[in-house]
Amino acid sequence: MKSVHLVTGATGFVGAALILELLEQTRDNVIALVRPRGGTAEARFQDEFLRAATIYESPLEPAAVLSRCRVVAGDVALEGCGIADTSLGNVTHVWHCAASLCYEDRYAREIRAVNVDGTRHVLRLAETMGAETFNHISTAYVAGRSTGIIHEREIVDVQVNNGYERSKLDGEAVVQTAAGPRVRIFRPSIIVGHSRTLQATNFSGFYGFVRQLVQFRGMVRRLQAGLLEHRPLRLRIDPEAPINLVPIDAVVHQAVRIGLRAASEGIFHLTNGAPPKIGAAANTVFDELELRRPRFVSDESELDLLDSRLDARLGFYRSYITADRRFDRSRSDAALGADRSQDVVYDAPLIGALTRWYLARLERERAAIPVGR
Amino acid sequence: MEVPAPLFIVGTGRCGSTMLSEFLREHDGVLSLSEFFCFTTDLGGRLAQSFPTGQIDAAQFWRVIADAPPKLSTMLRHDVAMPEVLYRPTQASRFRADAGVPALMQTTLPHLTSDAESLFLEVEEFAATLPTAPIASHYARLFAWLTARFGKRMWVERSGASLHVVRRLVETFPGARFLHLVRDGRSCALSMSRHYGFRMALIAMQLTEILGADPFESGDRRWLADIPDDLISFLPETFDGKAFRRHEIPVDVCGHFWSGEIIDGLRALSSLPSDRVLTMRYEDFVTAPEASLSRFAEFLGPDYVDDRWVQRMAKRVRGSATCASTLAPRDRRELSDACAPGFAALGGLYADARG
Repeated sequence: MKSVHLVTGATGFVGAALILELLEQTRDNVIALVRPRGGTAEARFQDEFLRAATIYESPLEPAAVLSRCRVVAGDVALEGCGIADTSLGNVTHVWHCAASLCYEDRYAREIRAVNVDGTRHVLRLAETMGAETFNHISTAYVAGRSTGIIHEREIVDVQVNNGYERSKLDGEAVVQTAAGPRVRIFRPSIIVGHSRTLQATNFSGFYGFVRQLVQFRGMVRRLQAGLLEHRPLRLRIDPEAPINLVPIDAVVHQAVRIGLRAASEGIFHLTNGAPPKIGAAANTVFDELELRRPRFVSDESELDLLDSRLDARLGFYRSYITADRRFDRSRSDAALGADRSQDVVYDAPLIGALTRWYLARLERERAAIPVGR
Repeated sequence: MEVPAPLFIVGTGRCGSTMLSEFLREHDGVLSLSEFFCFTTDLGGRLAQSFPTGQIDAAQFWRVIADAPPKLSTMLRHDVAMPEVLYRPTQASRFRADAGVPALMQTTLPHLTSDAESLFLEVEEFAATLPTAPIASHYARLFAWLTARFGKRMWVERSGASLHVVRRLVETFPGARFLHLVRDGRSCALSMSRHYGFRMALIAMQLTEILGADPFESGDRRWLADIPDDLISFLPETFDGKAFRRHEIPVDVCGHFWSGEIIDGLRALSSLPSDRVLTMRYEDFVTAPEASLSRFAEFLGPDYVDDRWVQRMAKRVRGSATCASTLAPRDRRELSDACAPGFAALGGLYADARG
């Protein structure tokens, strides 16, 4: 019998790719929960779905599989997700992908409303509908400031770096209160573009780091052209620590494979087993930006005021670039068994390619930027 | 009598050049155009609009000089206008802060006459007669008309922070001469860090790089979430005058800016023959005003040397009290480091500072 999957955040980076994966791996139907923004939910979903199918070079015929998708307008931040239970019909599995990736303090309420209250609303909806499973997309960075081996288990008493991490941690706590559905919590690390096409639809994480550097470079060039070409910046990072990049296709493939195994439940790290070192990755990004390679320092006192400004702008990324930690994925590997795909090796050429792809896109988006002189 | 080539007074800003505009206003033969390019370029942000390529008609030219500049208008609306803005809207005035004040009206025309609103109408009437032409021709005709209108023989334009546009000026006004006024970068930077115009320019610079578009010219907010909390109050739609007054631009940032302006400015000026560029130090105007003003008058042209003017203006020279020695030792060191490339570019002019 066909199952029905309800997917929140269906137009987002993970949500759209996950729907494609569900449609590829099953013959099931999908209900896409979409927040209408400046148009209809249907149109928004269709645009994002077709875009994802195109850029990830999906083998599916998009027009044909779209008939297996039903779009429901809703908003996870609202009680009951802003929808009537009856409009959904039967739902077997819920995939909660909707999340706010903002981090500045002014978004604190929105982050909580989406990542904590939103999770509660979706979970209650799943319970009300009698869904069999509740699959929650969290983040490996609920580990906060923990270092060393991070296990696939509930995290308590951890110091977080920011409100985003706090909200994802609290979201996981909400999920642990589920009464009814079997719960899975998936914790991807830093999700980047497709392993083959490199393309992505969301530009936080690694891309946000690159973009912050582009913005900072632009500001300094407007201040004093040539300064960064002569003077290396100092970065407060641990160059020997790993930076855990994982491609979107690996994340959704593994999530769906684990999700389709009826007995699986609990916490799963969707991370890269062979991550590159942060120092090497940073050098590659700086090379692509045509900046002098940075000097790596461990202490804030080693930064001058210009370095400190960049350091402040990279504050949100601190968790990704300073802590030496390894994500254990014994449970994920066990659940995947023979389905475990090879880790993508993010060596300098691949990080360079990812960076170049994003820089080209960013350059197009920034085409209207006024000249400095 | 031969009309000398146009003359621009250029500098980094906060270098004492406003004083020279005020002195020139008292000169019988010289029309003092003050802050023309500072305001038409909206603090340096509207370079493409102010120096368009190709031919433009009278209506387009009028928009260049008479549109309300968005950044400066925002400042006026929120009561944080620069002290250089001479036109202050009232209930009875023709232009209101909420609708914006034309670029030309903010300082340039009020600097010339107490009845700037009437002059604005005259300029509008004149500008409407201009044939389609390159922007250089429009500027030249407008400045020549104003020079004649005030019974002067030559014009001198000076805008704060005009080294920022000096390459454009060199290209647009072939044959023009340049007085480059320099001042110790540490003093300039300290003064910039407290000046609302630089504050706005440096905030806008950051917002522009974050958003990938100038928020005062474009509604593109796709990277709004990237704007740090301490800058969010300075978008035009959320502008907060109180937050603006509180916001501090670190002095070393201004030091880097000063160095950048000096290096780029000198590069642009280096393409000119030496007889078309005169570099003078603000500090020399303070310590030896008569000698400095005489040298300046000679550069204006032999027909513009006026000893009485020199003596009268020399009495009005006042040194600024801005002094980097008031900074904490680490700030002073960071500031000196930031200014070092600028001092190096200036060669021997500030040999002590380089040490």
